[in-house]
Amino acid sequence: MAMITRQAFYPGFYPVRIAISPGFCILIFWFAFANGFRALAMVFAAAAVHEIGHFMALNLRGARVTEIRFGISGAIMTTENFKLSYGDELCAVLAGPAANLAAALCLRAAGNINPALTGVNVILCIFNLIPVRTLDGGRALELLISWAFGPDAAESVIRMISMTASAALAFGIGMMIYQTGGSLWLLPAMIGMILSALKEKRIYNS
Amino acid sequence: MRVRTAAEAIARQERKKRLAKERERLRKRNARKYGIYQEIYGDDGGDYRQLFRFVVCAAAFVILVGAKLFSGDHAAPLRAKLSEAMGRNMDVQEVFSAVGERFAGDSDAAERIYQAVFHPEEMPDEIFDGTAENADGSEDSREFLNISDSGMDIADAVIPHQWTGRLRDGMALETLRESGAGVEIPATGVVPEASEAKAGGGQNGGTDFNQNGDTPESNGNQGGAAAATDTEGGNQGGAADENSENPDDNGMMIYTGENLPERVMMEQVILNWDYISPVSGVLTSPFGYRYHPMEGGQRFHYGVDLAADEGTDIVCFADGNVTAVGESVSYGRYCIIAHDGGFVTLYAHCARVTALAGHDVSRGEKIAEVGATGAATGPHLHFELRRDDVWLNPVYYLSG
Repeated sequence: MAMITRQAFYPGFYPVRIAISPGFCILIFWFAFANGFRALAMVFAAAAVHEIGHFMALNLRGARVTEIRFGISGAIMTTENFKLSYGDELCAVLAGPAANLAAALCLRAAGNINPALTGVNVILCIFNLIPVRTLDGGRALELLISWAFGPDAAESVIRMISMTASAALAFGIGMMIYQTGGSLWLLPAMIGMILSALKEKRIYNS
Repeated sequence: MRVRTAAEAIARQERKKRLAKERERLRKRNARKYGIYQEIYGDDGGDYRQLFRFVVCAAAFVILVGAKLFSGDHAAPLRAKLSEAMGRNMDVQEVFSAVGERFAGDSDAAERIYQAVFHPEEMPDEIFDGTAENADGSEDSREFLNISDSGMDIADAVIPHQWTGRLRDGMALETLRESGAGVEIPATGVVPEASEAKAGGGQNGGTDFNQNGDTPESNGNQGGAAAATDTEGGNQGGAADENSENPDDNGMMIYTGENLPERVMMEQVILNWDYISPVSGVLTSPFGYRYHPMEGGQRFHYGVDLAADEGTDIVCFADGNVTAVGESVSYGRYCIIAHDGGFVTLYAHCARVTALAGHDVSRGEKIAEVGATGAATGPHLHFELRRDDVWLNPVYYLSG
């Protein structure tokens, strides 16, 4: 399923392609089935805040977002502009978790009437900062090291860190599934992390 | 300017097509001769990736279907376990709330985060009070956000603090799995040892007092999701009991007797011997109909639920003889004691039963300990009283 929407952002209106994969639909319905639509709505709200953070940061630095793809592994924003500097891209990448953090702080300042909303923002912020290559945290780390020491150094460091972080996260999710005796909607996340770790390993070994 | 006739135009088109085909054929032949994959197939191999994905999915499908078709009975416990695992979920809203509160500086919430994720069934005990306010008396403003999706009017139900945010949003799985099948037991009261599967999975394990295939137990003891909580495989109910409603709301309904199920009597029967309350706890679910929010109907509860801490002693109601000690999926560990005059009492969901089958017991003697075995989300005693084959309302004989 794909739609074209027009975005009214600096430097002007331009179309953005939004694509939703069936895997994503399965994922959200599974989550809703297990946890209820209210929990799903909260997660959507936090995810929206996160993506808006990315989007605004990118636009403010002059990059055009061509596509937002919702897949089984989450939302992926594609830009057409390859002229972003390390600093700009770093800002854009960190803007997502920063937006979540800002939202959590605002909610807290407003008296925390709905602690669940605050919590989900905090959780998303922390989760995205985990140093896995596919998440914002890993990407930010890669950019930082590239900026300081060059892309080759970054590549080897990020391979190792991403592999261990993915494996650790997969293990953590597995423990949660085991300890709660259920929560099977976490399985896709766990499998995704395992695959990510394996992918790193293959690159590492080759 | 020449005007082309239709026939000429068609002829031109045909010729063009033919030439294009000829050209294409020659190109492919040349490409094959020189082994150029892209020229032949016109793509970069993406098709193979899709084909691979398709094959993997098809293989998975075939394997799963085959396993289902050929495993037969062997799969039943596995299916039960899987069903149970599917139904049991950590309460994500509780996790979110706990994280949010920790973020807001409430350091106690750190403990709650851990509990909500890993041990949702051990959530704190405030719910036994049956109060709706927070500990400090402030109204829980989360209630207004929790208008139930199930369509139940919860404004009337008193929902304790711990239960807001846990309004059975994810109960679709539970309702799908609920079945009313009962297990028949012989009249002697000796019940076959049912499987050890925990509540969520094996719904079809409700034991029955009588032989006629009625299923009061599975109805009553599945702890129908009354009011705001549910029981099955659910860590979502916290340490709550099966019925979150304030007992005062529906405990005093007067039954005319018309709508009662068979073999149920609401009137108080005078007992000619001394008796004692089996446990002192909070009456969380009375005898009688209780509204089942998911099914939209009423289910009859054939006993009373008395909530108490895990391990609290359960004492014998009156002098009698232990006719059965067993374990079932819905009742958990239970004990059946026969008294004078054809009266029989049942004590279910025990953590352990200390009485021995066949022995005489006296009033007030410890026979079991409160637990949450079987179809229960939290520790309580499910107490039934019947005379011959008519269920009586035990509430008249309880105190405290």
